Amino acid sequence: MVKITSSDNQEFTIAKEIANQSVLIKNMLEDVGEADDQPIPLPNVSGAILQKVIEYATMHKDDPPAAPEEETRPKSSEDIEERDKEFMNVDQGTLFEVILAANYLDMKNLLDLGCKTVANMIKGKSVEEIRKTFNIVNDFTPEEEEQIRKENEWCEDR
Amino acid sequence: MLGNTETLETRAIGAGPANNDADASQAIIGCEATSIRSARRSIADLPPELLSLILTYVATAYSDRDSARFVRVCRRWAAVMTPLIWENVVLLSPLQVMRFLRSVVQTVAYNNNKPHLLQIVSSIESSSLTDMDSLHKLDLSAMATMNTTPVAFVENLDNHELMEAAMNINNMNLEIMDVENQIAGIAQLMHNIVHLARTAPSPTSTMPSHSAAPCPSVEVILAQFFEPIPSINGNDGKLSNAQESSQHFGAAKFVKILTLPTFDCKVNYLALLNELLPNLQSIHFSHIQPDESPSKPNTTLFTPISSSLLETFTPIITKRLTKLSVEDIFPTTWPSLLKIFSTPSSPSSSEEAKSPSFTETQRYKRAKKQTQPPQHTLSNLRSINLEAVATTDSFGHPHKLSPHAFSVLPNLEAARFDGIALGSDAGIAAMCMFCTNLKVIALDYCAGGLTMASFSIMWNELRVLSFLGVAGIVNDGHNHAHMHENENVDEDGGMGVMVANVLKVPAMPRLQRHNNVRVVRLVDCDVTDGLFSEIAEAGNSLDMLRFVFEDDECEGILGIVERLTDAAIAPFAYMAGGMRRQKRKGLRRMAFTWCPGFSGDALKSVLEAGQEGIEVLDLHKDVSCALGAIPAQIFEDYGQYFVRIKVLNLYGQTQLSDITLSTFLTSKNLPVLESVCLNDTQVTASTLMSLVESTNTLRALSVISCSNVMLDDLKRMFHEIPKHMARIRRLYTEHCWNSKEKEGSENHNGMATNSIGSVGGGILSGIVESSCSGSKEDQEIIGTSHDAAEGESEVLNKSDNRVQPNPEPLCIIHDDLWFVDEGLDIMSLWNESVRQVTSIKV
Repeated sequence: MVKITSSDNQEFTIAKEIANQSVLIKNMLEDVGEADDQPIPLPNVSGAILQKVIEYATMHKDDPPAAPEEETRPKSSEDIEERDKEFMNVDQGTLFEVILAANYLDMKNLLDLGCKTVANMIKGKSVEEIRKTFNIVNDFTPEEEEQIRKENEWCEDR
Repeated sequence: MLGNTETLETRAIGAGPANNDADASQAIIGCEATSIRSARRSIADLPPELLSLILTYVATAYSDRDSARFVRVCRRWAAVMTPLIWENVVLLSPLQVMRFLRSVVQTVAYNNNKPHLLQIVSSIESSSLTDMDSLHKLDLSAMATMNTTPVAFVENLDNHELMEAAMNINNMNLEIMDVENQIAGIAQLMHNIVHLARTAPSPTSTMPSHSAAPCPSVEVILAQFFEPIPSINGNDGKLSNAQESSQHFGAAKFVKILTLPTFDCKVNYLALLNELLPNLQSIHFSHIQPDESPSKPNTTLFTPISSSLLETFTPIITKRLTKLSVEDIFPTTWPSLLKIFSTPSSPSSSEEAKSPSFTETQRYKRAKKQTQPPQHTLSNLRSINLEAVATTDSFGHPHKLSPHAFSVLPNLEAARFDGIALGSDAGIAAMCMFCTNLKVIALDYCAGGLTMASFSIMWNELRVLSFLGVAGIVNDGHNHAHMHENENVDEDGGMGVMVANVLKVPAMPRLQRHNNVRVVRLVDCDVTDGLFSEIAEAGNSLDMLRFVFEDDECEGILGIVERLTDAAIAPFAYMAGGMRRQKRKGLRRMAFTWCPGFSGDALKSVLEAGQEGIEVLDLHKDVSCALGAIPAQIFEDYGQYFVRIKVLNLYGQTQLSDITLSTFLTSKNLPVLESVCLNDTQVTASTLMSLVESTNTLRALSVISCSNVMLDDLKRMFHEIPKHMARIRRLYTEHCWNSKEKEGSENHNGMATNSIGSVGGGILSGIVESSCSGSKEDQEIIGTSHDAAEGESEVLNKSDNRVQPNPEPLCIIHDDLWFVDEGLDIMSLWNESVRQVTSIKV
């Protein structure tokens, strides 16, 4: 078993095969050795998000490793399992926290899942709808906006 | 820990807190969101690399047009999205080419604060663009009737003055439209057209064609306007202080791959792209497939690559390109291409070399001398793909690709020649001597008298070779092209022969041990049992073997198929076993045409060899080809030995009854099956249902053109076994579920299929553009048409807040792309090897 602590000092004890889904934790375990039972500090992840991450890792603990050829295939955000869709059924704040945690913990599958989920939120939306969905302020000057439009005219006017 | 109800804070400019309105919550997979803690994080908190990853998923699924709008969201998104849009530029029409050049000039002008540069924009816009509708077209259906009415073919070509002139020439030489030699007739006609086109007024790629005032040349423009910009090309052709220089080019600095149509688009100042794309590494001159319409089915453009286009881009090709792909090569444009590969060294002493008085020692010295690096090389070029015009898989031209061409390509790692005149086996020997870094090589239907000795030469001489593919070589003294011709092996001044002598190449050298060859691909080649034994013995690292026969009209091929026996495939049982003693990985993928001399026992020995054995088995046959039918008894008697097969292709095995298929396609025989193609078989929905229900590893199912599987059958499967069908991630079928349909399109097998168009408010919740057509991966070298579409759906039961199994497909693909997605087609195999073993990163 492996002990990990969150930024808000919550401690979790998890099975090694679950912990090893994080390349960061796996490398730390290899560095400190098996005998060291000190909890591994994860200062960039809160307890609530760590709980969520552990839930994902537990859900996928029996997954086979991805085939090398899958790495080279075109990426599609549609390729999400139903259970993962349910897992990502969270508010935006949590979603981005999970993405940041996955990036920090070096969990590629979880990171991809989070990014695919956000990508699916973007698809089909107009610029204004995107700004509204993510509360993004248009910070272009009118001149910049015109220049951006001209620069990318070649691919918009097909 | 923060509570669930904490309010959102205002964010910095460019992004704010997550918007928790209905729109946002719907976006999160459609149901009421649950909050673990305060939503303090927003998309603005993601570092650029994560935003880039997200937008990559968006850009991959969308066309450039759709993804380009994301640039306008805010500055931060623009910074992330711009490289994604500009990295791989695909231009399919003269208008697109003109607009792209205009955008390049605009971005360079803007980033140098020199608005006066925009003066040339009006000249660019006034280009007399080529009218695509006026390009010559070839009606393939007319070709089919040429036996009786050859004139019909001519009449179906677009009315064009050049065409008329060409027809006049042809009328004077009626014999060349001889029905006995249709291809030659067509080729001659095309030759005439191209010849006439080349004598027409000079093209305008480099100069403005017409304007009120005389316009300066590209050189003057560059000198006048772009002098302040540091030169991107040093004397060595490499970027000088590249990073600093690139800053001046705005978005243009992101362009790495550029795809252009093969015909001259007649865009003024197009040559400026040589200077304004500082990081361009790959150019693909691509054949354009016109839109099909019911009135013009099977119509393809005939667009021999424009000589002026090649000449326009020669500076960048010779100085900086890593990768060059040229389609639509034709005899009349062949010399322009050869010029690119020409060297200052002169074979003027070739006559001397051929003289009887020229001793072997002198020949050796001559060959060695000529193998020294020439003064001028295309040292950056690492990948070339040259394809002849699609309608002529062979053409005669007095100039073969000289060995001198290879001498200027010292760093070539990947090469593919399709329908290109390469000369004799001696020329291949020369290639091996000069291009020692070749890792991926494919010679498909290359005219000029190649024999299977070339296969052995490449295997033995190219020691880092990983992929070796040849097609259309029959050892009857000619290649397997329909136009047998007189060889001219001395085209290179005897150099190829000299090199062959230096290498001491015997007529058919025995294969030597090779530690790097992973993929061998042989199509319609003169293979023997003995050759396969040698491959099995010598190929220490062989992972994939593909040998197929498709031309059942060639007597030579028929004879080869008749001669092959179990001895051709049985040696690979040893390989499939992993050959642990010799620490070999072993054969994992096998694709072959079933031959009458093969037995179930030989197949069994391959399938059950070793601990792991064959995982991918491709036993397809072309529907229109008489070769490759597998007796039903093989599947009935040997089904139990397929237990390790993960990917199986039975496309075109029309003779197998549904009873045979239902007996064979069981979880007992195929317990780890992940992907299966049953296109053009007699399989029924009942058999499919049983297979899907019992095989929980199955993820991909292709049932295109299965006459016993109709739309209602598929719908019934989704209704009766929804949980099992939900596992199918890729369902390939021509049947359209319930949405508006696009115009029928032509896939690479010539079969009309439908694609889902826009979907709004129906059962399908959204439409995703093709995973193939918009992907950057497939922009490398595309040998097949990609026009797939996906749809996704989900049914939400809000009462228990859970997503239920859906009686609709998760992902439906309306095109025959199973081959491509499994990486089993010719181009996928080639591209996969290029990606895996070369240093080419674009």
